[in-house]
Amino acid sequence: MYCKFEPSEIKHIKEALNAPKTTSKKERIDWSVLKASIDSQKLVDYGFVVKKAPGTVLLKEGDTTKEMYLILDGEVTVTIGNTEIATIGVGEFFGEMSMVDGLPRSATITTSTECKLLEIAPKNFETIIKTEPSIAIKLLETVIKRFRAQNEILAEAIWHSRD
Amino acid sequence: MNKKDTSASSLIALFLESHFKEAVDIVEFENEFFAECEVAHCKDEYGKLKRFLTTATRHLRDVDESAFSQTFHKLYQDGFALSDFATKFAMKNTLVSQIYEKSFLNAAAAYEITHSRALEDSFSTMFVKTRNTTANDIAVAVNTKFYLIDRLLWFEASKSEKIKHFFSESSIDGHFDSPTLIKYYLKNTDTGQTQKEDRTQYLREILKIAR
Repeated sequence: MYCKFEPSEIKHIKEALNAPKTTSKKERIDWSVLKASIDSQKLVDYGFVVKKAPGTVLLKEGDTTKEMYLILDGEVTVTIGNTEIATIGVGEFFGEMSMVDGLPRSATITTSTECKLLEIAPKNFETIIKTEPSIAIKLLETVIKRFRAQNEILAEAIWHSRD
Repeated sequence: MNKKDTSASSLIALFLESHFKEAVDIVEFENEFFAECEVAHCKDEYGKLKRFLTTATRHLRDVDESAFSQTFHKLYQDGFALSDFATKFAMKNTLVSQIYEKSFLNAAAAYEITHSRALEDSFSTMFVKTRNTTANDIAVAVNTKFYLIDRLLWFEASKSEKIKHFFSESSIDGHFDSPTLIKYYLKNTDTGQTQKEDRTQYLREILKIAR
């Protein structure tokens, strides 16, 4: 308190206040490359390609289903409670956490557009990991990113528990 | 003040002026700073972002330790000091009857004014009114200060190539701002455990505030 800021610092703060927000562009998996490596017959081996109308609830927070999905076309929204927290699209996975750890769904997933999805049953998961390294790597990246974020949250919880 | 001329109500007013002087001076100082920055008082409860901004700052500093200027660190520490003051202010001024008994009556004794029910009621009414007004002024200052911290944090973060790379690598899609990082944390927080649910609840709450 009673911290005096120099005119140059005030100018810097004003610049921050007036600056437009910049955007980060998400790097998504290049599905066209991935698709080329997986023929339609293989997709059927891994699961079912399903089409869903906009507004369809695919996963419900708290449910104990175990399927995992890969978005082939369209976009879905991720909601926790009543809060929409993300939109995910082509080339992205969802539902992999419950498939791996068996715990209830952590979020509700709803289609925001017409969607084409690869629904993967738990029994086919191992097959994919063994036979499709590009998908396995992408899946591993997703899990590691989530793990890193959880570490941040844990570090914050520890930090505040010291107060 | 002439002892004989001192009525109970003017004595209470005098006491309150002295008791809340530090807080009033701080609010005045902060308001001058906000005027210099040409920022309007923040109507949103940005002070609630304190925990998140601690995490975000540490997180982004881990990504790029040189991302933030001395001005940012100065503003950050100043904001947290102000927030601590607000907490202490609330704690210190909760028990009105104790302040009446231990502080006010001692001061009033010099003016030969002693306890009466009417005096205590009058003191309590004036104290609570002044305290609430001052507490509100402090809260507005805290919210505005944390709004400034938030804006400066993201202004500087958005200029860091390492942070841009981190956003890209982590598939964080959106503006370089708090709502985007809050959504990223929410997306990556599995629910099911009480501690995590508390955390998720907090993130949901501040997502409605941050802009």
